[in-house]
Amino acid sequence: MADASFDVVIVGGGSKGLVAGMYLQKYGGMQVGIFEKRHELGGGWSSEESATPGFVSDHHATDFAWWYTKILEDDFPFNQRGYKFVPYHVAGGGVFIEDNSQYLIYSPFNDPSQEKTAESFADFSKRDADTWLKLWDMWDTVGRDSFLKHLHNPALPYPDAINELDESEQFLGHPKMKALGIDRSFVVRSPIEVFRDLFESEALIAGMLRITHSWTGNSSDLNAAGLMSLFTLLGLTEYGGAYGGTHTTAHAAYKCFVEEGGKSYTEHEVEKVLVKNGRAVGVRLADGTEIEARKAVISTLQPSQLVFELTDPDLWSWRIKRRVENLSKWRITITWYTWALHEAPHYAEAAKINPDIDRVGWLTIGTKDPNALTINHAHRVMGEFCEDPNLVICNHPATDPARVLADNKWSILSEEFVLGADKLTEREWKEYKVKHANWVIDLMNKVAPNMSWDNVIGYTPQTPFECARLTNMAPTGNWAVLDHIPSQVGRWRPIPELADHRTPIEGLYGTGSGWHFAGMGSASQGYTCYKTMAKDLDGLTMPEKTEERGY
Amino acid sequence: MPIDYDTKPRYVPEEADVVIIGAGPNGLEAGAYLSKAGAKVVVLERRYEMGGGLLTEEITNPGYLHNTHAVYMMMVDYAPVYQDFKLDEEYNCKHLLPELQFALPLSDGRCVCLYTDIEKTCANFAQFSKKDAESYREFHALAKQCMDDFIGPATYAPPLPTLDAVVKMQSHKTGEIVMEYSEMTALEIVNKHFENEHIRALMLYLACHWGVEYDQAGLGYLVLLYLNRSTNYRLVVGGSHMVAQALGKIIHENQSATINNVRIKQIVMEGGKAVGVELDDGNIIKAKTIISTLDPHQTFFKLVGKEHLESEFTEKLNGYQWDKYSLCGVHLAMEQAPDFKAAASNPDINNAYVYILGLETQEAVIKEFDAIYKGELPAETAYNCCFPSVLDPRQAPPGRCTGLLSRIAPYDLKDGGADKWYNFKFKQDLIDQYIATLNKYAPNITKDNIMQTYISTPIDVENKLSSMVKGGIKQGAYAPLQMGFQRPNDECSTTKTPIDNLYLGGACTYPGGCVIWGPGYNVANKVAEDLGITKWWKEPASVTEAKNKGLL
Repeated sequence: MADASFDVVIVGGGSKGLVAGMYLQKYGGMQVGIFEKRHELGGGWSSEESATPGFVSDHHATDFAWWYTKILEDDFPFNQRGYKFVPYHVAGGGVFIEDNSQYLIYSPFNDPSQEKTAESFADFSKRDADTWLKLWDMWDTVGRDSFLKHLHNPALPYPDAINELDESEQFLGHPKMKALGIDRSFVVRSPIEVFRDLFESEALIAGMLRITHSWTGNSSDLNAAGLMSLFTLLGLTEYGGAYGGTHTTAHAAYKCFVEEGGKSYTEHEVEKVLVKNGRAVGVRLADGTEIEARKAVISTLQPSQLVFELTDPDLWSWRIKRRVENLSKWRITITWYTWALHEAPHYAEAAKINPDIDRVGWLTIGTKDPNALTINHAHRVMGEFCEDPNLVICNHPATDPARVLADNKWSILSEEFVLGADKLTEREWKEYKVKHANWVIDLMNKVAPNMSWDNVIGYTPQTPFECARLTNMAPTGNWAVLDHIPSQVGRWRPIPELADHRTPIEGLYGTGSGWHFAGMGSASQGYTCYKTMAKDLDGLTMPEKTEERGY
Repeated sequence: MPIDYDTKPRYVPEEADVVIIGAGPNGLEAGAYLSKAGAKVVVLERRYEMGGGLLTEEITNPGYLHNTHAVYMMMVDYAPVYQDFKLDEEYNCKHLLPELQFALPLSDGRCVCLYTDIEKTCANFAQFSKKDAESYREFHALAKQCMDDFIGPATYAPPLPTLDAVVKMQSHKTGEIVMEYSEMTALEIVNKHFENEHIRALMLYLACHWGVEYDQAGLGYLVLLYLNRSTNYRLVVGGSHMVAQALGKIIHENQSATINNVRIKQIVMEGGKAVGVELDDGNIIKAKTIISTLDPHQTFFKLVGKEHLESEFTEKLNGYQWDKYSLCGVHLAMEQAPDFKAAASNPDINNAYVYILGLETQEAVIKEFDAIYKGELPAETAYNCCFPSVLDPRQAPPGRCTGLLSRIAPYDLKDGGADKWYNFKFKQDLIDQYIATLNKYAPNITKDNIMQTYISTPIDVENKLSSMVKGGIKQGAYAPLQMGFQRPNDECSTTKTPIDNLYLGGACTYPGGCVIWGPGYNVANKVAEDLGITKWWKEPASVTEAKNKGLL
């Protein structure tokens, strides 16, 4: 392309780049140019008809909470541009392979008081059912609010303010937390410790560990990871998806961006950020074109790309480089198969207890052993696959018919935590893909007898190897860009020096799933990046609802 | 704080000047023209993504871009939409015109080649028949004359009633030629001009594979069209969807809307007129004008309702014929590009745009069509195929290759019906057979170095794009009685329909399907005229010229 000039140049047109662009364009009065290497905008907000034509599958982000995009709905005509959040009826649940017993976590959109969830938990323990109701009360009255503030406010600036307590730590002292027996020792407790402190049924604890693992990716015995698992459990009740597939979110964001005058360029790869006298002044594209950035450059690439590829590494301190190159990325590596089916899996035995098991959005199929994931992680750290079942089935068509265009058919996604992309060769992955497909069918068949190859119309296998083809996820194919170990979430993500989006290079900001708070398809990191920039640059205004909602 | 979220039905605009049903190439084209003219347009699409047949999807492995429906853009040099919107310069819609357009390799290592350069084609044909080489030169000039004078411009002008058209055609020598050829079958035309069985095989396949039956008289002008276009197939750089993205962007830039994942319950009728559309969630969008780009049965039977139709019109619609066959495509994520045996003597062959494999003689082509018409799928797998990333490397990861093996196939299988296309094992076996055929001509390609496959069967085509009834890619057969002024019937071919305010603009409407940009352009013109919208675009020079010659 010809040389061009913008106020702000954004490297990467994924969810974070689009959101930051929307705010800069509308509330910052900036002329923004987004440059995307791929043929399509949206990044992890992607869907494809991959299993079979006519069956829409999300290839990356899939489970959305209503609050993933709430700020966009407040601040833009977002749901007038085709976006609609569809909650599950039953957000979570699981079938245990030992005896087909089951647990269900209802969506508050369907079960506002959570009595139905408590009833399901009572099959395992009356005490646990009561505990759930108390936890729910805490979440619904004060916890959610605190979490959303934490999510949507930038991390405290480094190095000075970082010594203060942030929202999440302040919340620990809340009377409702104390009433649940949650004290400051919970900060260092592992997921299994936290759930065992609160609940007594080992089976329920196994289910909770497994279902929250999809988001946290942490081993059950990882110290200091427990509170994140607890809040994940409460948060996942409110999940669902974007009507018609996650990519719809990208369309709505793109339309808002374009209508405000934003410019976007697909198939335009940025090679370098141009830095003059310690200040980012533009970018150079792979074809040699130089694009001027009058005010700022935002990188949405992963931290190591930002430090070692996009800029001259000499511009960064020794400690930052050490920390960035040693970021942990091996845990959140999964298979993500999409299946086109003749009919929905029917968990025949479990359904006799409660037929809602067939409508669960996020369903675990595994053992009652709370140590299962500890074993899974132990195998993987040794470079081995773990044969124990830790399967999760995602079931969007249960509430969103637009996912399947063929009449009376069905689709699901299956997820399992496996080795990283870098552990096998491409050929080995190719073989593994077929083996894993058979494994999924065999395992599902044990609890849902109609799930055999006769029920399959088509499937597409995604492994960490495929995920790693997206360079933001390389080299392991980490779905969250970085692991969610305690030292890599919240104000420490990706590293304390970068978490508030500023960099040592003036005018250069970093954001993405590798930034505060955690890896997810929410709009938060694009918004917090804008907020930080609004403090540094003149004339950037805040949306009207900022004060009312507290973030 | 409790959940602060309301899951009421999705917001859609309450009214619009023009509602367009279907965001395929024609719907987007009409939307782009009309929104730029100042109309408030809302384009509604059933799928999660706009584009209709203009699809590029990463459906095998990441980094492999597959054009899962339309690949071959054959009217780029004629369609006004490219120039009117400067799609190349302003919207990054670049096209490649590969020099070697078609290659039909033979088992003996030779290969029939059709180049954009006539001299190269003649030199190749001469290896098979000196007479055919000379004949090709003449035929090429003849087809070009018919295309330039009449067939090309006629694509972007409303059709004339058959009798008027005949009178005009008879007044000009090009018209007379077109009329003469129209009365012949494809087989007669090919055999009149060519004698070698391999050249005849290529020419007959090219004349017929979009849906002209080889022994059907009355459609000979389409044979002239397709054989002329056979040296004008273009590939969209970055994939076919780039064009859909560009047109969508134009609509958004002009403050109009596209909405995906929409299910339409009905077209709202008041006093015999179409006044809006009702969605399945109860939302209603009122509109001055509705353009449907769907097939005629969906438009009139499902959305308008038979109670609003005259019985004679209903009869016409009942007689509408669907396509006789569909396509069954296998997409490949390949470790390496194919190295054809035939390339040993002519390296050009590894850079051809389209290959035809397994149909080496005219007899084989005829046998293939005959079997398909009977609902059979011959055991010997034959198809056309292309490897877009060889020509546009960005469509695959560095050093890798994308492939599309596309076979004509019956929707209703004699053995097993349409439902058999859902059978996983059947499809896996088919994929193996497709690869075996490719391996025969390009031995370096084996199951082992194909990293992933994706199959799209006739029933998948219909599920994905609901107007492609019975998997037919043109929203209805190219039969002599439903072409020209009769497409889809004499009451709708000008895009206006018997229902006030309702227009047609899809592939079922004159001039027809295959991303030729005709119906969308014509309906935009008609609606602009009827709504009194000032056109910002000019009539194409070729149309003006054809009118001056008395042909239009």
